[in-house]
Amino acid sequence: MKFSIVKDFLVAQYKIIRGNRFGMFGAVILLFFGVIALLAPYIAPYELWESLRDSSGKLAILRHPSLEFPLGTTAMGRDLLSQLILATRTTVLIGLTSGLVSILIGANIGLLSGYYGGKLDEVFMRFTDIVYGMPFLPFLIVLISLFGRNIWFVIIAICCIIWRTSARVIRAQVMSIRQRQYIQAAKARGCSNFRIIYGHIMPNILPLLLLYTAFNIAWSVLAEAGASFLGFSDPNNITWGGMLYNLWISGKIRTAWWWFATPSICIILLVSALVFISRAYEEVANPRLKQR
Amino acid sequence: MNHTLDVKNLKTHYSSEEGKVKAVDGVSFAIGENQVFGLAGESGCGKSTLIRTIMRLIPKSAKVTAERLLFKEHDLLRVSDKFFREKILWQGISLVPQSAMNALNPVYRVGDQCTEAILAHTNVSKAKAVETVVKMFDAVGLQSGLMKAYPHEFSGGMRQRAMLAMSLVLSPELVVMDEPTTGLDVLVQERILRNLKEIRKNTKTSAAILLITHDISVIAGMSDRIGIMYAGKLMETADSMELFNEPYHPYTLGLKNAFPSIKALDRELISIPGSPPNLTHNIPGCLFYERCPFSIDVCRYEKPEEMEVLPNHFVQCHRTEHVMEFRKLAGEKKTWQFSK
Amino acid sequence: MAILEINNLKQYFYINPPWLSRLVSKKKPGIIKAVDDVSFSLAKGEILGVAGESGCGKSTTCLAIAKLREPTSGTIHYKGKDIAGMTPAEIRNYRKEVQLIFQDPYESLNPRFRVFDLVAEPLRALAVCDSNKELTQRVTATIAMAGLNPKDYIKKHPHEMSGGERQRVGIAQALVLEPELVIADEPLSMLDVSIRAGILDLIRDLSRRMNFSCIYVSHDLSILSNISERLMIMYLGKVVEIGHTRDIITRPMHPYAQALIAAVPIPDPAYERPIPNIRGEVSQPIDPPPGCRFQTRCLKVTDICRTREPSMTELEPGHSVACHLYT
Repeated sequence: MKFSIVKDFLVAQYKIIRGNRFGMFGAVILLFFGVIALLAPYIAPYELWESLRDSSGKLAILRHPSLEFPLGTTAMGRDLLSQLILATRTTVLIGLTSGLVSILIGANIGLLSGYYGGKLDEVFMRFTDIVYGMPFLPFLIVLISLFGRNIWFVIIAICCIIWRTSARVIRAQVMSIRQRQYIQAAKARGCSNFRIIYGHIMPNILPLLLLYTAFNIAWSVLAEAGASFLGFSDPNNITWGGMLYNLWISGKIRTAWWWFATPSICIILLVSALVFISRAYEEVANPRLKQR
Repeated sequence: MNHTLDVKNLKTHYSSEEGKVKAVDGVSFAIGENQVFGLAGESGCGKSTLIRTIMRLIPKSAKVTAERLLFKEHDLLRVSDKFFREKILWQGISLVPQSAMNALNPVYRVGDQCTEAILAHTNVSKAKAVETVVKMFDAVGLQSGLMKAYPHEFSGGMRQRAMLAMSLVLSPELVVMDEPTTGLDVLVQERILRNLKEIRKNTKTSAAILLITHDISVIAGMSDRIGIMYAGKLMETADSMELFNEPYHPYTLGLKNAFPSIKALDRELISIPGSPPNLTHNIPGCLFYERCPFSIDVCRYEKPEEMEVLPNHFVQCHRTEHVMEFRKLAGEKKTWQFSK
Repeated sequence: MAILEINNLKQYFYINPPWLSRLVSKKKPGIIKAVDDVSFSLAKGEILGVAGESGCGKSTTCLAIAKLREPTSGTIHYKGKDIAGMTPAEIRNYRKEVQLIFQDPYESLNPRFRVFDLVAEPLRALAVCDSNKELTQRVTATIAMAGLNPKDYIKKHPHEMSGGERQRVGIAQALVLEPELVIADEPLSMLDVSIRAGILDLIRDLSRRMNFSCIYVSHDLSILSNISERLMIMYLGKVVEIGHTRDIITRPMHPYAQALIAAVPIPDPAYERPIPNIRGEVSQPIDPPPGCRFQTRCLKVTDICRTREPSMTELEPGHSVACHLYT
């Protein structure tokens, strides 16, 4: 019978997204990118770093989009479509990992802080305040200069910072739920604190949790794009931001519009899709927003 | 007969996500001058919707129809919103809402809020307004010094009395009270009802009262006339003594047994099985059919017409001719132990 | 043998004014004496009614007995054993035997759980059942006992049920552990009147069938007169009168009890309610004056009432009052 909670949850999520136009749109886009990320190595027509020659034998430098190279080529003759597809995988991976890890941190801090209160709450919240004061890029720069350019440092840096907003918000929600009579009832029925936090309170903050998961993933993607654009990324694992970085250092940013357009559009689409999905959850978390 | 409020066949229908809700479905009653009309009913029976319809507090999407909805000589169905707001609200009909203690604005002094109500609707001077408020406060048992206090400095009972005073400052002809004593302790409740009775005896204007509550004991003590509402309809309407001594409708019979009384320590409490019907479902027959121990086939398929079984005593039931037998049976527990 | 013995129970709350105003105006911390020296006992299988208005301390007393709050001082003996200073394992056993029925059926059930999980939760939390089969059996049996058909209800969520149905689920939750002491905190006040009798009967029947003792807290004397065998009336944290329900209702001794009973509304239009002999407003239990708590409202107050607190005197077997009029 415990299984019913998981099943209820999945069915409920489906219903929430179905019921909202934005949510549907966002879900479709996410699915699209997800599929591409999964199948990336199999659908990319060319290798990532392969300098290509066109049918006439010349190096295919800075070609406009054509039948041969649907998204055009870079200054080094590389196919942008392949780059985009392979970069999708890395970007999605970073976004998902950072987003999920950061929400895990934020949710747990929020839950424990909100439930226990007192000194634990003080300590956690002051720590959160400190993290609020930390700027993301300098932090990343320090990490990279100390340990080198690696995709994992980008992920770690993002995770260390992004959790702060969700922690605050979830803590507030937990504090209000903690006062509800069904939590007192749970205590009277013999539930341990752990059981109450994760079995009784958490199911009730799920809409908020999912909303912030979507947000966190969106912020992670943006943070990564920004950091990569400035050059703080792993040169071996290209992301959409990394593509823009390459564009920038090639100096052709003013002329090669095709090179600029596609990664940017992808970033916008992915982040928008995540925000749209979060709108669907916003309605659940605050039913008054529901369109009548 | 000069009625303060004359309602005939009032209907308020909402459309909701689940379908059409007939919150009030054909309610007719009249309140005479200086009369207290008690409207009793449980949650979901439509009594709150009824007063909100009269007070024009329902959303625009609701459909309101009636053969007659007269307040004195004003046709409430036809007057403009402006007229209603300026001439009828507070001066003609005033409302003491449910949980009135929470209706006071927390950032203004209580006295100011009351004088505000007077000044907004009439042309009297501020001094005169304050004088009226002091008089009303005195009538409800609040010292005039409390006018300078803020709502949070009042207890729940005191706030309720302040709202009562506020509803009377413009000497309205009809005061509508929605669950005036719910949530209050019994001593406070007793005091408020006693104050209300005294005010009515002392003030020169004839104010009729429409009292809405689920507590039959409160209604018994206060009302001249009682209407029992269930699922949007008035099942029985009669003068209060007659309703208690000669009840007709099975729901009324059931309610009588459901109330414990310290004067009848040995009486068995009997509850009515089931719960009120879902108003979004279209029920062809009597709305009480599911819970009625005396129902027969016709009750299932046909809605009963309102009948005048005794002078000024109206009932909506198919089987009123068996009432003597029903009254006896209703007192036995096993009558109510059935399932449909 | 008394299953529960409460002696000199006190629950004080200290309000600390902000440190700045303490510095400036030398405001002392105020004390709310929510429960002030309450003593009573409960026999096995007995239903004790606790009556009083809001702020009298009845709910606070319940929380202390249910071990949801630590009392400031005083002892609570359950089956002869002091419940203070229990080890976590002992507390778990205590919870298996002492349960609560809550007031608000709209707030006391977790909205995310289905009925089956709601009723199974106490069994799961305290690891009572050995097998899943036993758990399912016990849960469905308890749901049926509460008057709900298990087939129809186990999959429902709280918002799909009416107030009465929810309260039955709450009762099932409390009784699935087969407790020996049930504390019911105003279980009927949020329900429609036509179904209250059914829930009251349920509690009464089950208390006889399962032989549990019950502390029934309510402000509604009409209901208490119907269900409780003994009655205890509280005012501002103190017990003012205790005795058999019938005795107190027909012959109340304490002025407060007299006023309370006079004020109870009767569902009979011919009945003229006498004016209760009481004046003033209910005061807050903050920094009460010395002497009897009721002095500010009593019409029969004398000098001794303002200086000394009355102690409980037994007027007739089983009927005691705390009032200087009788000492």
